[in-house]
Amino acid sequence: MANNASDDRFYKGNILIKAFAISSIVMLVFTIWMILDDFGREWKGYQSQFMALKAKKYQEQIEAAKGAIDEGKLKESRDKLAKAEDEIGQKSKEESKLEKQLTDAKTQMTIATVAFQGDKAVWDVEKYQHEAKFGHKIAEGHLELTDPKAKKSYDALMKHWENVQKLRNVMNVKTQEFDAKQAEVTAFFAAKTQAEKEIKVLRTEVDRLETAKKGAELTVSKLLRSAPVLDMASPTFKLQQIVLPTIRDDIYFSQVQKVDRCTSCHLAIDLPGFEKEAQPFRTHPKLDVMLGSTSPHPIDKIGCTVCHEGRGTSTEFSRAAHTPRNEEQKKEWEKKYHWHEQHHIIEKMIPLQYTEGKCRVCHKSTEYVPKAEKLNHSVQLVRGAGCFGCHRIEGWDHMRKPAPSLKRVKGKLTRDWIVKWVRKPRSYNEWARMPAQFHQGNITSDEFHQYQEAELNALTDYILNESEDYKPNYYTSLGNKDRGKELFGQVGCLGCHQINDFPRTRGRWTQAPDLSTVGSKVSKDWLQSWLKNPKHFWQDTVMPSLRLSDGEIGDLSAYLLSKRNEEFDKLEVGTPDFETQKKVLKLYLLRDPKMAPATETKVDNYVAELKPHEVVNKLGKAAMTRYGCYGCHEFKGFEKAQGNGVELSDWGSKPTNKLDFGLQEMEHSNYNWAHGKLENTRIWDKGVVKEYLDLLRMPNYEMIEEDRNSVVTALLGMTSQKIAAPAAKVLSSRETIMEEGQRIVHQYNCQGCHMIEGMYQALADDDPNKEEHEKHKWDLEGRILSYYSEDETLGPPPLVTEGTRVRSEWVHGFLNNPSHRLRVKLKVRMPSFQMTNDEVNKVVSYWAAQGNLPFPVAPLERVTLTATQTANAKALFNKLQCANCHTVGRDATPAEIAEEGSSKGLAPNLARAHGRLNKDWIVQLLKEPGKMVPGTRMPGYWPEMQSPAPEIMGGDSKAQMDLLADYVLSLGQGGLGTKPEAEMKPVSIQNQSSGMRVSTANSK
Amino acid sequence: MASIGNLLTSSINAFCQPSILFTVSCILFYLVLFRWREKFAEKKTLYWVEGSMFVFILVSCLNPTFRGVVTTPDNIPIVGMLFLLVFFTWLSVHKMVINDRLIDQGLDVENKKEAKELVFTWPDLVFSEFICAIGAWCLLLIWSIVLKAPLEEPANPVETPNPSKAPWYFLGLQEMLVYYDPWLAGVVFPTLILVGLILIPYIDINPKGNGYYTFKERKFAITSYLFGFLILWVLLIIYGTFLRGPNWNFFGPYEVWDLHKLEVLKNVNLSEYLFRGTGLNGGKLPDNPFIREGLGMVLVIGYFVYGTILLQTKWMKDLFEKMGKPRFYILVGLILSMGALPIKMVLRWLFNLKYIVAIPEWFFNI
Repeated sequence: MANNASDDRFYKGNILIKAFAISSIVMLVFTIWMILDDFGREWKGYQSQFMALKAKKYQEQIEAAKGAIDEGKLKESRDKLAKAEDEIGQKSKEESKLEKQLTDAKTQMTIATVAFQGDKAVWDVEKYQHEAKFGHKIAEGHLELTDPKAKKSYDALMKHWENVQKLRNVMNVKTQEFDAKQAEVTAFFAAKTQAEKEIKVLRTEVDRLETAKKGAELTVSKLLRSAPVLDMASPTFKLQQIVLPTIRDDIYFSQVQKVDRCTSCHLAIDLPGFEKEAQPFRTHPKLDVMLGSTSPHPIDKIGCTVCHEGRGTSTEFSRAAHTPRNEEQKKEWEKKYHWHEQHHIIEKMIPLQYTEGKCRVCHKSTEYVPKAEKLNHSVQLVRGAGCFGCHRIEGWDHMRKPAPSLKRVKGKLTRDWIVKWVRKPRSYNEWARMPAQFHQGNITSDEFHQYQEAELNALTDYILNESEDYKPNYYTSLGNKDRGKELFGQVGCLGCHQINDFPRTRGRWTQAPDLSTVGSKVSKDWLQSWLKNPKHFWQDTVMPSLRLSDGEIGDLSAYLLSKRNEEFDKLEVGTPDFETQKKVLKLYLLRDPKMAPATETKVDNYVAELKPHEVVNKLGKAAMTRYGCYGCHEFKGFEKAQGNGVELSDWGSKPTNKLDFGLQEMEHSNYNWAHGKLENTRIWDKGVVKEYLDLLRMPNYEMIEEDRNSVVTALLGMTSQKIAAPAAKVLSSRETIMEEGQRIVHQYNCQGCHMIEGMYQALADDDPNKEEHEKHKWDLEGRILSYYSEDETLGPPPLVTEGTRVRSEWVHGFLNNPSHRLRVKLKVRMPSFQMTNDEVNKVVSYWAAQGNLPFPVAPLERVTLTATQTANAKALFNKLQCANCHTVGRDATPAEIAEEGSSKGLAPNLARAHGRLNKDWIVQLLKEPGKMVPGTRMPGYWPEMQSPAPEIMGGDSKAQMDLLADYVLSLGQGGLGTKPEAEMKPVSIQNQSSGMRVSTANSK
Repeated sequence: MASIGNLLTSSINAFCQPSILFTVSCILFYLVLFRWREKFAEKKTLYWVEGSMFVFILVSCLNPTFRGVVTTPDNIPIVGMLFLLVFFTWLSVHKMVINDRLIDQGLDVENKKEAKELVFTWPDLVFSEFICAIGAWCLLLIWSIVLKAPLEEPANPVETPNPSKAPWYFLGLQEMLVYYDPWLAGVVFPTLILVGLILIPYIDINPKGNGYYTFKERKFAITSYLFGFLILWVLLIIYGTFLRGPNWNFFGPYEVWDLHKLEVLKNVNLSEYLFRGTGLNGGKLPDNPFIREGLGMVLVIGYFVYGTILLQTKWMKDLFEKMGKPRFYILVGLILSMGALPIKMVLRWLFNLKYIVAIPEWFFNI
């Protein structure tokens, strides 16, 4: 077989060698590429950028710190140093001599120390050997100490010990010599050392910062520490992670500790000073509430994804499931970070605008979450819009149905009005809160529109047929409508209602209906009876009585009845088509389980036997059931029926694929779905083929974007996440009492008039958002005060410190009967809510708890003042001219009230302080009136504890305030015209939560 | 233009229907192997086939659905393997044709010539293998860097992905489930495939074609193997990978994978045809499965028995004589089982036939 192969032994050798060379190089290149690809993590880049940023920050701080050093002092110290160095320089001979002596002394000392330590070590060994040989035996009694061998060994040991002692002495002597020399040297350099120390003290901050800066600078050695393989020891770039042992992620039936690595890139998230840096190096915007070490949620206890969601364990931008807040940001991210949707991750980050909703995961179903303004607003909106009527929301089961009862509707409304209203609520009033149910976007054919009319008419007839009779029990003649309008603006109606003659200050979903067109709705007698006593018509209403006189009712009703909607009045009512009604009823019957298995003939026969009114009633009831009117309105026969809607308690955790997006092209996320649904509740039916009864039927709220955002925020916070104590917020007993009180407060809309919780937090004067923020000052509380923006003192008083301010038994009495007015100049009236005793108790307990007061209260004690004290107090009282505004023992006279700019009648009668106010609160008020009663006219006389009257009581501010408080409290008990408040109406308060029955009758 | 494009995409979508594409593939398989072999073996054909596949995929990528499916990190290597498959199939045919020509002329086949030029194992073979190993290593490296493993969240047992797909190499089996009961498609057929492959050396006693490619000397072996591999395995994998979407519905290559797509599912058992269709027994299905499914059982048994007789006495008479009984019956059993799959597919497409034998009370369906 003669060929080349056998000759060269290597067939095509050159080619193979070349191929081997090339492939080896390619493999090397790829291997390096692989290592770089594996090591070049995003977060390492950010960490190195952050080091540079930190170094820059330190440099800025160093400049600032240098600027802060007292140049004069520094120069002085430097001069001193130069002088000292000069002096030393002159005595250079002496210096070198001293230093040489010091070195010698040190050498001597070292030699002596080594000698001692060496010999001692040998002796220690000998001691051990002696003990090993004889010690044990002696200890066990086998040998006597006097044994010659033992004795000999012992003596030798002791002799050696003497030598050790000698060496120790030598060492000590040498050490003393060295110390003396050292002292001499220190004294020689004393001036220099002192100057150096001074300079160091001056530069402490600069030095500290410079060290810190050095730590932040990226050097070659630091870089090397993060190189592949070497990074196992102490890498410069390392993953940061927060492990939360008490919060667990549910990974399909197994619970694992939550691990957030977000801080690997968000390196400054809990460090103040990076507020204006670009992401990911920006400080958290609410460090005082979140993440800050002194905040209620420190970073090591809460992490990141508890609130923001997203995948905390991931360290790559897209895979961490960041979610852009809008299209613009999405585009930006796609460009900047190659961001793409993570389809497999269920818990993606919540877009930032909705994050606040997640507070509710831990702060479950509380009325308020402190400092979460947006969430609180959202929750109020959900409450106002009445979502919970149809959709159960856990924790809200206690609430009354959100809309008026229809049980006696016959006595209030006409058939025509109901038909027109239900057909299109906003044709009656553009601010109507009732959503539109009929003729919505998914009713596309004429036939279906006719069906809707048939149902609408049947529903109306059914409602009226089932209604109880009602006769108004009060009427008076109509008065002057201009006076009525004035009264409407003054007496407090605006706390809950809006009307178009007064500026609109809040959105659609508030406590009570807009009254701009109420004249087209109700009759004179009904209205007057309602104004007189709302509970007569509807026991469960929260509308209070304002204790209006006959004349006032006449005026007010004249005004309200004049507010008509002419266009609505002219609208056609239309007549129902009975044949269509039958047809629709058949549609329902074909699906009625009672008719199953239903055939056309069976249903036809059944309907043919019905009397006409039975057809209408049956159709009306079917429509009521299908459209779920009873979810919001109380209705006979439906009292116990569950609302029609899907439960929302954990809607935020609903997987997106469980949501029907119909045929709409949109990004599939739960918040997008909710937005679409709230904008047009029938949107998912568009283009879909359905039978009439299968059409979507949630009524249309046509929410504006702002409101939708709010609702979505609240919805996303309702999740099935289970966060157990101690991570979750657990209400203390005090907070539980407050919670219960707040529920009552919200139910009766106390916050419509009063500031209660102090929700509004003013921004600093230089804040760019201040103006915008101011606009929302009254959004959550004290809404009526926006009508008093020129002078808040003319509106309902703020109750922010009510807990510490008033005695519980006084609150109890006042809520039961508020007719005895405190601030007689105010035109706005505290209404009579006719609360139950239980409700009153809860409010009282709420305020007591809010003020951290013991409940039940301490007994009312009598104040006794000595003659001197009284004299001093009177002097102060006069000096501070308290009587300029306050009356004592009487209410302000009409003349005083009418006086322009007078505060008489705004400041309460001081004789009523006893039994009403707490002494501590009065002292606090005197000290800081603006803080205790925001917006008060009361001046602070003790600014920074500077007494306004140095001549009285030696100018002791504290004693003066204390005395004045006592004096004010004594005014009411001395028979100055009025009885102490508490004596007016002895009450017994039953504390519901503890079951204690406590008599708080005054202590006479 | 737009309408032409629409027409084109919708006709390609329609063409890819299992019934049409499968039938066309079978015909093409026959034509290439028996009629156009010489033509197919030309290098030009390879360039044309690979080129047009490439252009087709490239142009189709203008369509977002197609692009989405083809560029999934999982699927890119499968697309690559399609090109390799074409190449190696062509290569074997190419060599067959050359060798067949040489045999016809009475000359030595190519490999026999080469076999005379021997080289050493070391360094030649080992060195070449080592270089290949480096090449493969490089390929794996670059693959792992460029196409990141598509890791997902931990599996959620209460919410399985839709479509739930087997690994790509098992998608042929999964596709069989459309036509056969799980115990057949998931247990019996895979076992038969494995056993059959193992048995090949013992059944195939034809000494020709050892160490070289030839078609003429091994017509039956090559045809049956390639049919099983290309049509019944690879084509079904292509279906499973690219053309089966949510709910295992068929989706044309340009059709959006719509979760809500519905297909009529009204398959009927043979026994139902028999009794309800003809009104036999008053249209009532007998309770006794042997009576009810009697016809189906007869047909299935008849298929195997009569098929064997037919093959033994007519179509494969020569083979029967050469191989001897045991080998021949095993071979026929395997071949008939293989044939059962396309037969059932055709029956499904033509008659909506669900099961030939349907005894759900025993979990026994054919």
